[in-house]
Amino acid sequence: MVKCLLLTICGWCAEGLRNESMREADARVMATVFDKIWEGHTVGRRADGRTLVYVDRHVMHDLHAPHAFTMLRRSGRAVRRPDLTVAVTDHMVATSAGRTDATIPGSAPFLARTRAGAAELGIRLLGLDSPWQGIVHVVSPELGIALPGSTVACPDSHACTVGGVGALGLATGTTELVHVLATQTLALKRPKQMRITLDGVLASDVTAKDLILFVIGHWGSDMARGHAVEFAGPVTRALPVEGRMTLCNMVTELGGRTGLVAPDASVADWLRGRACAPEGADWDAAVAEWAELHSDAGAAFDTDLQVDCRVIEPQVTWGIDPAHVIGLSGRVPSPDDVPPADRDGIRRALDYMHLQAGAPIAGVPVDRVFIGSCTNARLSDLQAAAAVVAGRHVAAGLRATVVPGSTGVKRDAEALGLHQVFRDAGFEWGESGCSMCAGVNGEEGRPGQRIVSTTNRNFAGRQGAGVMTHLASPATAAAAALAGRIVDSRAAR
Amino acid sequence: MRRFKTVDGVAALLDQDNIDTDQMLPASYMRGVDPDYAAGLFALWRRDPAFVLSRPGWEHASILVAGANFGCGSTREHACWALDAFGIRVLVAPSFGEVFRDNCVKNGILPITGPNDGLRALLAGRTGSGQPAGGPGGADGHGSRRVRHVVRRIPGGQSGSAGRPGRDRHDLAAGGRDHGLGGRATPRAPVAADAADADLTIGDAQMRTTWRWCLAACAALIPFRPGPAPAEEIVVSHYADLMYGTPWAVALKKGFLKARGVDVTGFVSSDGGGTTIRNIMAGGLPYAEVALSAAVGAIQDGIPLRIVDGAVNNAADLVWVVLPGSKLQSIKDMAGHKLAFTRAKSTTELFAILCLRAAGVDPATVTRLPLGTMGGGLTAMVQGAVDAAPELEPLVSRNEGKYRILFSAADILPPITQHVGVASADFLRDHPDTVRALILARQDGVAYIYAHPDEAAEIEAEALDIPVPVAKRAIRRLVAAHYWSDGRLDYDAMARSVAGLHAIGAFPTAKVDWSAMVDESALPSELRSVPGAVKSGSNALGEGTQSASTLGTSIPGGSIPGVGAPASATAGSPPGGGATASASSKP
Repeated sequence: MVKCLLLTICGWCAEGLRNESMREADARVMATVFDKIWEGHTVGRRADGRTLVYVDRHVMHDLHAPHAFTMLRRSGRAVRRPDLTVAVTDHMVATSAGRTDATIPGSAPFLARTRAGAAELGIRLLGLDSPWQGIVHVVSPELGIALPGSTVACPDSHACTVGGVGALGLATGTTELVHVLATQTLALKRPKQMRITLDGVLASDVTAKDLILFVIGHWGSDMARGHAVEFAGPVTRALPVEGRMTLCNMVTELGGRTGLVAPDASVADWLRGRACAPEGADWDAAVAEWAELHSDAGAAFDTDLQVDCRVIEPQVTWGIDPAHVIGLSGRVPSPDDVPPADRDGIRRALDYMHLQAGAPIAGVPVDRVFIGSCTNARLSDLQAAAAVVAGRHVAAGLRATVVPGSTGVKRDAEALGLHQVFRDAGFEWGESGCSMCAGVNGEEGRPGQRIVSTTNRNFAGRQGAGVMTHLASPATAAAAALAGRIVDSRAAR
Repeated sequence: MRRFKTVDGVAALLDQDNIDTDQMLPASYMRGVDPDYAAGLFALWRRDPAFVLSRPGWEHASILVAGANFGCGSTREHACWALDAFGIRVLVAPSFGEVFRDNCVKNGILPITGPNDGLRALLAGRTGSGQPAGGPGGADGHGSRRVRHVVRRIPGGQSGSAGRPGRDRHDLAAGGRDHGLGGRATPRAPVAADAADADLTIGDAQMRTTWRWCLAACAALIPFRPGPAPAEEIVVSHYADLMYGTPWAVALKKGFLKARGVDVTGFVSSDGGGTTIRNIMAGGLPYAEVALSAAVGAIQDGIPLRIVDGAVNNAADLVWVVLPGSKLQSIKDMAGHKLAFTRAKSTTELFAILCLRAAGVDPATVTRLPLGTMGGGLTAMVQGAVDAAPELEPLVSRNEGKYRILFSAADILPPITQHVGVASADFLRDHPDTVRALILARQDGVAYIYAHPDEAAEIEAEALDIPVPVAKRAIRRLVAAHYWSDGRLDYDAMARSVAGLHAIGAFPTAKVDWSAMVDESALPSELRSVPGAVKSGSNALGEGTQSASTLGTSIPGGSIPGVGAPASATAGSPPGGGATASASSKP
């Protein structure tokens, strides 16, 4: 049964990247990875200056699907390539054990319409009955739907996550989603290019999440506006593939259009044998092509930035903007520390978060911990958290939850016994979905609760009205769960 | 998509940077499939009675002035739907979240990117650069002032006059009825594409500045159709914005189509010109209703198309209006004054010239200005730049009382055909019964409109998303003028149309040979003008200069052979080929 599904999906992934246009791009001197993918997918230039970009894979989810199907129906158009389109249910699903489409009454119509629309249009659905259901950005690399050098459109701002495997994630709204359904293309303004070179080495226990939080905190949440971001440098290369996905995931919190890391041998290793990855000779050819996906020496970027990673410690957000970041040993900033124009923002954040300017962030008491989301719920994330909690117990009165990024991740984690580690420590072990990250399914905190969360957004009210969110890595979140307050996971060990 | 016109409304200041879409529409308001988006807009902030949009007087705000990076965060288009539902039409901010910005344009909300210090100071009631203190809930955090704002687009000139094709400004503005009257089946993008200048005038403050604003896509429709369309759809030009399509809306709603044995599930609105022709020729579409000029132009270009029935044989929906206080009393007073039309060789230019001539006014004595769209014309009129501007139904009825009708084309001119039904010669030959059934179903719809105008108005109100009273006024006017043909072709009216187009330089010839263009075989016999005169199935038009059939082929491309590129596409040459050319020329 499972194999059947896999074979079906595999049908459209028969071969790897080997396309004239890609070679054309290669022939140009000094191209970036982005250039190579972009040129290889350019259908044409429009009179308005935008580029019509071919979409190799279209992954969509249940928050947009019902609206999009209605819009498509109204326009009278058909799905151009149902074979390249996959729908998942992730935003609206319940993540409690024994869930069904009806567990959350408000979600039922979304799930029903997603299911009916997918069936009507011939789109594969990874719904609750699928062993591969999960968060769209986790599922698409996990199944090998997103491959190096491919373009992957998704109606979600975190479409950039697949940059971790060297795919070009393209975020859309609902109207553009319909455009992709009907045409398999997107009309896009070509973004500028930014390279962020992560130099030096990472301290032990400093993760990809800490890295990207540091970068956002350092440069601000719209620094990469209008840019495609490539992460480079020795620290990037040393990051495991799943960490690269975490890094790319939060490019959207940096304001960027998309982000990626040049694929290397570790990506090929990670993808080998995935359900939709190429096989046999196709695999070899694909891997050979992927080797070309690097930015040539001397390739030009509009913006080139370096980070000395040696100075980075585990990070946490203190405010209501992803750029409100400090190290775990840091103190909550004061309006007096910043230029006059920024003071109101700091005051608002302190107000909302009920924090005192100048107070250490470590020690702030926590009501809930959430480990999940497309940012940090892959297997390695759960392993990192489990390593912290193993043999210990969450603080009295604190509610801690783990929601795996996909049903596949859940299966793998359970095979390793991680679910038992978490349960023994007093964590809830859920089914996969977006859950408390997006909060659209109603899984959210209560007003006044303070949550340490491995998610990507700490906007006011993001996890429920009046809920105070601190973004952090899985290890930091796990440590907070044990201590009942924000604490350096290194100290917790 | 709602058309963007002049926005004259209350502006509210949200004086902080990085306002994300979670604030604009909290997640809980996305839970229903059809939630109350208006209630959801800034729902958490609006719990605070001091927040600007909670305060009396600002519940009707239509303009938001915000800080940088407005709309960052989630790409939820729902946030735009919430702005729209609340009534927000214009956003002014130093910068926007990128996908959010695109989403706005696609939903008819104008995002103006530019420095807003002056506006902020004005709205905050302060003159300096200092910012009001306080948070989303703070008493002073979001100042506002009830000032009159007029955001208007500088009316576009003709293509190239300002480096920006006038057509690109088409879609955000009111029903730009461009029928591609150049007489050629040139694809014309039904979308606004690029950039134009916007003036934002603050009445009280005498403050004026110009921003560039970009219309990224503004796609009321997916802008081009690369693949064959399903057979159960019909293209009706301007179905979604003008009144041509009322019989079709009625026929669908009342089940006439089904009763006649055709399974039509909906209509594709299109701009009436070459786009429609391409769609029908791309295959699968049994029938389309288009501008006569587009049909004739396409046939003259060698496209194997046939005119199969008449649709609209007069111009009762077109009027020119003046401001209520204007001293102009009739068209005869136009000499020495300024009159707006949409653009060169358009229906509005044609009718303006024909009306002036018919009224004995030398068109040379009237300054005629191509202002791009009806919205552009009306804005120019309100601001005194022109004296009279064109309006089409249902805009005429919507603006009833606001402007005074100076003259109506149908009052001055004899009937002139606007719309006809067409089918490809092949389809007509192979499926004459389907074409006939469609014609009959439309005829049923027309009969229903004349018998039950108010009920028809309710159907049309839904189809056009306009208020029922507006639809009722429009339908009554058009019923009185016998606007919709029951299918009959009016050759005199068609000849006048062609002659007029020739007179304004839009057509190469003053006369055309209808026998080579019309095939009446699918018309019910009582509607045929010259029974038997036009042979059925004649395929003399098959020598296309334009390989229309290639327009329906797939776009080559994609980096993954066997996945991205269909078998018919030449491997590895994405930017070549007819399909690509068609795609790229039609944003």
